[in-house]
Amino acid sequence: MDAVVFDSVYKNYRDPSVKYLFKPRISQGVEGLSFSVAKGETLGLLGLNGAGKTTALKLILGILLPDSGRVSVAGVPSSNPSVLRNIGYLPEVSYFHKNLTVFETLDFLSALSGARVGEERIRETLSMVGLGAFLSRKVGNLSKGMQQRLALAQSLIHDPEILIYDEPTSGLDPLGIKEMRGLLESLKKSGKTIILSSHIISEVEKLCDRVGIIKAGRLIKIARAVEFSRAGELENIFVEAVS
Amino acid sequence: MRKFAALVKYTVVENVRQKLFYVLGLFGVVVLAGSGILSAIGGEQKIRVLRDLGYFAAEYVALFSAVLVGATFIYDEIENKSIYMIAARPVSRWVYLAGRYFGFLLSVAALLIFMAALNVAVIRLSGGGAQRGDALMPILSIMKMAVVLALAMFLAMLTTSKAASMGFTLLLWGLGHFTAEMDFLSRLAASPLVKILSRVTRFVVPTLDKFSPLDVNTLPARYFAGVFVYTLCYCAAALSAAWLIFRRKEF
Repeated sequence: MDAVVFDSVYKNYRDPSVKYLFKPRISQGVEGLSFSVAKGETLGLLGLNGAGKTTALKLILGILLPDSGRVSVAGVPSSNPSVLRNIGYLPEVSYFHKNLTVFETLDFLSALSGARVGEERIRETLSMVGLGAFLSRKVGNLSKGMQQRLALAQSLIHDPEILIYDEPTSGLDPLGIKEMRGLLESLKKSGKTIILSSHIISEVEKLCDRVGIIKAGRLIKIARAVEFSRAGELENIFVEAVS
Repeated sequence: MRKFAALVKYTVVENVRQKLFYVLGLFGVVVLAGSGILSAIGGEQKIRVLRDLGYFAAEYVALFSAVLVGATFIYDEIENKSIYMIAARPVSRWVYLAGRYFGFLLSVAALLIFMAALNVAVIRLSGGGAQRGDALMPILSIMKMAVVLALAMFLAMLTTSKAASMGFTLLLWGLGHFTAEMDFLSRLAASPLVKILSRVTRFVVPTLDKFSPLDVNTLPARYFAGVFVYTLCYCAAALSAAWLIFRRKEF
């Protein structure tokens, strides 16, 4: 069974600038999105800003609900919160409660995942992302890069099967980017299903089994990464596709 | 249950670490300390003035903290996107709302109990004796804050700005102390439309005057039981209405 399936999914956004109870629907999120991701596969979504990559990821999480069509995770509709038990999500920009410590944040979020996570697991996960020495530091006192590492830790704390990463290297310094790539590779090797969106074409090309290019909410190309390589440089294909 | 408990626990932790929470608490302590001076004008009624000022300070400090957290916490969580971390986890919207609600209520109740204890200490130091009301008033105030919090959370879901939800909560809190007058005016109204409107308004406005009886020491136990049942019903209705809006909310 596929890990994630999009079946003719449409999603419109309401205009946030109109501050009334009933807002007119005007902007397009995704339009007729159909694809599937096999268990253990790594799919990269490429697209310009506002193309609909983040919308697609939020639809998997049930944070957004489709206007029509169906999104399912391991055969269960994404509107059912139980699917989230097996998903780890890393948003593009991570915001936490500033008054909680690093340890408390992970303890809180792991409890919400329904996982019985002990102190040992929290320490181990924080060490894995390079925050082992900051357990008792308040999140508000962490740098942006450190908060992104904490966001990565919270996505892994409950050992999910599916990882949804929105611009995973956003906000990281060069060393952090290198470490993140290494971590993603090891997660891929361990058999996790990974769906990530990125602006960095080389990152997607190296890491992903398949690459999808989204333009104005539509999936205009999807193929195995090796097929893109055979056809020429992914960067050229991407520029040609979105321009 | 584990998810609910985690939400309650960390809502309390987050709240009690807010600077504003301490500022409000400090304000209450200053008012209580100042009541010693003000009570001097009470002459023979010195202890009564002390006690009333104490109730007043505790209730207003609790009210402002309840309105602030109830009307703004979830709104801020959505605005600053920290809700993504929770929404991306298998937590039903109802558990989320209930967990946050009880976390808020525990924080406000802790503040109220602290101020009530301080009030009793000030009364004792001034030579006053203990009364049944010293224990009952904080309980009534906690129930009142339970209603205010539920109302604030409902209005936070309904409105599109923090100022509006806080403003409407305070407006309904004010109206809630004049429900007898509202009922009287409704009976006087000749127009059926005004009658219907006043009945609808009366259904939304909480009957808060029941939580501030004139002489708490002489009231029978069934009065408190009635207020308790009312609190449960009002909170359940307000939180259910909040959930109906929140369950389909997209972030």
